[in-house]
Amino acid sequence: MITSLKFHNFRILADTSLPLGRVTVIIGPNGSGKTTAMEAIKLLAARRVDSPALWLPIYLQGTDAFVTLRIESKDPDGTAHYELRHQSQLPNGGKIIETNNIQILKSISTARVFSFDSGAISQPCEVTRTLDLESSGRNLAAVMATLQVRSPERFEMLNQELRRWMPEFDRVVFEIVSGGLQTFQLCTVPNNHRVPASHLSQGNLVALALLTLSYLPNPPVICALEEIDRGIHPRLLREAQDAINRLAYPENFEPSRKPVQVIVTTHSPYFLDLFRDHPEDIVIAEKNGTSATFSRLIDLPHMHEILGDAALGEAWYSGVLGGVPAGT
Amino acid sequence: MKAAIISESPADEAAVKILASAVLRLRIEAVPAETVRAGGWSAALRAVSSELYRLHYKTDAQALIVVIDSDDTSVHDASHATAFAPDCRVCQVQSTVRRVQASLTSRADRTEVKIAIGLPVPAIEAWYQCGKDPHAAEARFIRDIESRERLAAARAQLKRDVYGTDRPSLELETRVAVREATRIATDLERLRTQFPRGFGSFYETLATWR
Repeated sequence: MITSLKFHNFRILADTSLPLGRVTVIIGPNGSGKTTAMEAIKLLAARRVDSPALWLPIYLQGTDAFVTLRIESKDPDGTAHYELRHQSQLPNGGKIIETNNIQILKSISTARVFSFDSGAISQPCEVTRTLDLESSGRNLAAVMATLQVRSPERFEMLNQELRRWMPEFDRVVFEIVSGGLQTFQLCTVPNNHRVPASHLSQGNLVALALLTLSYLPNPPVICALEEIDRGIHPRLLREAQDAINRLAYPENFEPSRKPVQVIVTTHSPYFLDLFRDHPEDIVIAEKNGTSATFSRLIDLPHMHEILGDAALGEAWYSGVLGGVPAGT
Repeated sequence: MKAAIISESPADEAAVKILASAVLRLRIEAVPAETVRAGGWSAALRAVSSELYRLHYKTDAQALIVVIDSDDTSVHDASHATAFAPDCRVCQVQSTVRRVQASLTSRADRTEVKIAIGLPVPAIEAWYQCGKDPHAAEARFIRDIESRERLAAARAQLKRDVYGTDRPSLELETRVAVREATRIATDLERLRTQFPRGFGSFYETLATWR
């Protein structure tokens, strides 16, 4: 399991470390490094040291400055690290990859940052056999159709869960449309009316993408979900949390699958409230002038006294936990 | 009887409906709550005032049943009747109810909405263990609360005992809640004995509605 992601001179993350558990929920104001951390995961997964423009470094220490992203992991077999460095003066164009364990490279290479886009999800996609859900969810129809063929039991479980999440719908069906593209529809419960993806609400589309991700037989080993609450009704956030737990704690659902590390960002106090019993999952992103830092909620001095009887969301909004915009 | 139920999750509300029906010896027709909330104590407290307004003006519901976990807070007792305890959740709900009821305009076509408040100590999963685990009794948890023991670990253990995990899905929570509430509803006396302050007083309020 990846235990931390360390940053040095990576955009606003000048010198900080993001602690990671099986589930990590990052809260914080805009510009506090949440999306930057997601970008770092993408870089590490792709090992993209070949495109310095992507690094957008803040050279805080003059020409000797370098940018580092370092992942550390801890498993029963021991600890490992994987580091990407960029330093323009180096003869190979500034690229350094260093690791003491090739396994960590393999693990991180399957990491995926999801930023579900309802517009992309609702568009028809190519007919392909794939269980690899794209970051935007653009190929959701193809992924669900493949799941139906390759793993009909899982697809049926997905439909059952769909009925719990959205009781007005019974199941997902598919259709080939003009141009040979594929799309999906949801059948309504009372009269089996088919609602095309393009007529579904943004929240329903995003929720369906999250639900599908949680039912994939081999999801990416690290799933980062940007703004998980985007478009999702507060009453569905508990189900969204269940989907995250299905990924991260498969032993409660399907013991044969390996756990996925889930990292989510949110601005929703309602979503945060759901982690009252698991404050160890919460990381606060804090902007301090031109740099930002991450810290775990449970490391906040006197956390229990500060929280008292308040809901996490309320406490966050009040500002006592930090992670709020400056001047508010 | 038409009643709205406010608890900390839909799973808890399913269990409360079964238990309250058993005490009342009649079927409760649950009036669905309309207040948007994600779950938890604070959301439940916020919902009390908005639901009470709605029940009074927009429905013919006869009662509002509120069941919230004590967690680490003071457990309501008779002394609170004369001295409001700010860290007692029952006192807070009662205070909210009094404030809202004082502001309601009486309606000729209906009587005041009845209120019953239950307080599982430290969490509703302790009630589910009634008849299964003799250690999961209110007195023990109250001792822990009064000695300032943090109950987070005990609550997590209760969840593991009841659901097999401390991260149950809503579907699992609801399934277990219905199963356990149906079981303990057959022996309410035992639940009253083991949870006299949180369930016993709730039972007595409901019993007056029969």
